[in-house]
Amino acid sequence: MSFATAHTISLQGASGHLIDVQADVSPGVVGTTLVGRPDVSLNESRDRCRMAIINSDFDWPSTRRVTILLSPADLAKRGTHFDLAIATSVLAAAGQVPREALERTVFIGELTLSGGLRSVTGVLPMVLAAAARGLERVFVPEPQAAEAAMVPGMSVFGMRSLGQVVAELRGEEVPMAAPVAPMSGSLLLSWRGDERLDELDMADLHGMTDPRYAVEVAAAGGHHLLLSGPKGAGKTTLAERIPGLLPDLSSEESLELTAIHSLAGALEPGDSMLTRPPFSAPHHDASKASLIGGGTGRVRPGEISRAHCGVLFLDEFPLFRTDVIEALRQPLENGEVTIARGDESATFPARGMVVMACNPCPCGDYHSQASQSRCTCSELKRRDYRQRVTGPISDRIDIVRHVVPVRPHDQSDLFGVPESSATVRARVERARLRQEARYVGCSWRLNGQAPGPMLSDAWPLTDEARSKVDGEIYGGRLTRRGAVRVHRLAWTVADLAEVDRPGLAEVDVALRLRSGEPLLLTTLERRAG
Amino acid sequence: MTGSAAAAIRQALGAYGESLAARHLVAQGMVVLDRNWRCDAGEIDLVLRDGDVLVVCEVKTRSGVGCGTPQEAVTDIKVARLRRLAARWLADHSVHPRDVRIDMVAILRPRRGASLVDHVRGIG
Repeated sequence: MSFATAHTISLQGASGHLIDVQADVSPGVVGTTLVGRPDVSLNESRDRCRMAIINSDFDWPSTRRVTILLSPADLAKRGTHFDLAIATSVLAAAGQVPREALERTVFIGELTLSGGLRSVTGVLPMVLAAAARGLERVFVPEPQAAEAAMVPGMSVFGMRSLGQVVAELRGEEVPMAAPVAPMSGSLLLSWRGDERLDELDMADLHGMTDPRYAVEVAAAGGHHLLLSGPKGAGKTTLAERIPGLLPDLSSEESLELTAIHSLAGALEPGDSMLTRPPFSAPHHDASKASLIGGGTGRVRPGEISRAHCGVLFLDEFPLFRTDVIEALRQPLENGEVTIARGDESATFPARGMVVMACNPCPCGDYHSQASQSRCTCSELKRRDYRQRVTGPISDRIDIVRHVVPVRPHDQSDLFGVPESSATVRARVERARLRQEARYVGCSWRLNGQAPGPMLSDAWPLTDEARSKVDGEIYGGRLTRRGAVRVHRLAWTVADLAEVDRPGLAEVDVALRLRSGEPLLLTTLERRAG
Repeated sequence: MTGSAAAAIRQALGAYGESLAARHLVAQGMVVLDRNWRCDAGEIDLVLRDGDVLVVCEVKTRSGVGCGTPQEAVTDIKVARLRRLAARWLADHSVHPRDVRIDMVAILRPRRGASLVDHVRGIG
């Protein structure tokens, strides 16, 4: 029998399919055929594998017909990471590697003509998928061994060349090989980037008691937030401090986020698991594909997925393109993005908080209290600008806050020295623990993600609070979707205040947070006390 | 070595390979019907009978694999030509076999030691 099977994984979005690479070497017209819906880069794999095998001093079966099938054959496959599985299956079919050595093993890696093993994108999700299918061993390019090893229960072999892989499979001593350059180009310029955010602290913000509280609620429950206000009022300053209020990621979240970054090709070889919530602030010129996901060829996760479990900050929100704003609806509502193509459909998680900032008008001076500046926009321009925020998107935003510039005499804070990020984070962590305990065994983790019908059945408001919300609906001041959001917010307010069930007070705060009305001083005072 | 001398060596190698192939196939119970049959479309190295099947056989002989193996030299285009030649041969000799098969015999003749003969049945 001159036939062998090796395994690899094909990715569709963030989900992986186990692929059997079957090689048959038998007499016939000499040549190599690759069947099973390969794309262009995968079709070129035949030539890469042939030269890699010859240049690694193994024998390519050049007197036989080689047929390689990627099974299941109906699934479209793309990428270069199939090389290693193809090469090992051909070698096993030709009797140069024991066939049994390929069992329960996944091969991931692109081959160079000299037989070197190059890094590929998406190793972590592939290994996760392999583990889910009960496979036990995985061969990956050496720079990505650490990434593969994040998956528990997998024995990982990080290899530099085809020669090393074959020696390991034969049970021989693994030869030396030259290290292969890691995939991603290291940054030509290094800038302060994310580290800048680590230095930001809530203690720097004087005044702003009202928006500070809103940010705390948003962080505690994972609610979407809209900050509006004239330029220079501190919207960006506030938004950039939100990641500092979030606790470290759980191991589950951390694995999800790292897998997404691996798919996006954004994981550097030295990177370990991502443990801090991400912060992503795309420019308002961003395309739909970059923000939501997509792109030509392979479907890549967008910024909204890269901010999974963290914060996606959309500054100057009304300046984003209309199609981008519209495309945000699904992730804002469901916490995931599905991108459908002709023959594939990819789903990425997108459970980050979306924080939007906008000015009251295009010039940013409307309602500004600074006496020097006066708005110069026409009423028509102002209305156009506002319309981009209202509509279907505004219904999906949980908290609306107006940030007004702090006047010098407000600098003396209402309730003493401003709290530091650490103090607020401790409260957020406690509130999140309460949610975790409540939603144990559920598919969501935070109030902001809890499905509406489940909430009203299992975790209802008190009766008087319920009738208050119903009154708002009958009064036309709240939509049904809005009522669900108020319900979620009320739970977060209750969790922060360590109240066991949201009542009238919590619902009142929730309604104010959602409608954009200023909070009552008593609310803010109670919290400070 | 002059060009004609090299050509003579090549022809001699080809003739050696064809007779070796014929012996190999006859030893397997086939009957040689024709050798080096030519027409304006090309040449068939060997025509044989294997039971009631007509076999059109291409013989490739090489003295080394520097320019690829003898098997690699038989491409899909050559197989298609052999198929056309088989039809011409049948038209010329009113023979009615049950089936027609195209085989290849690849011979590698190293500088020392015995030649390697690889008979591949049914390549087209």
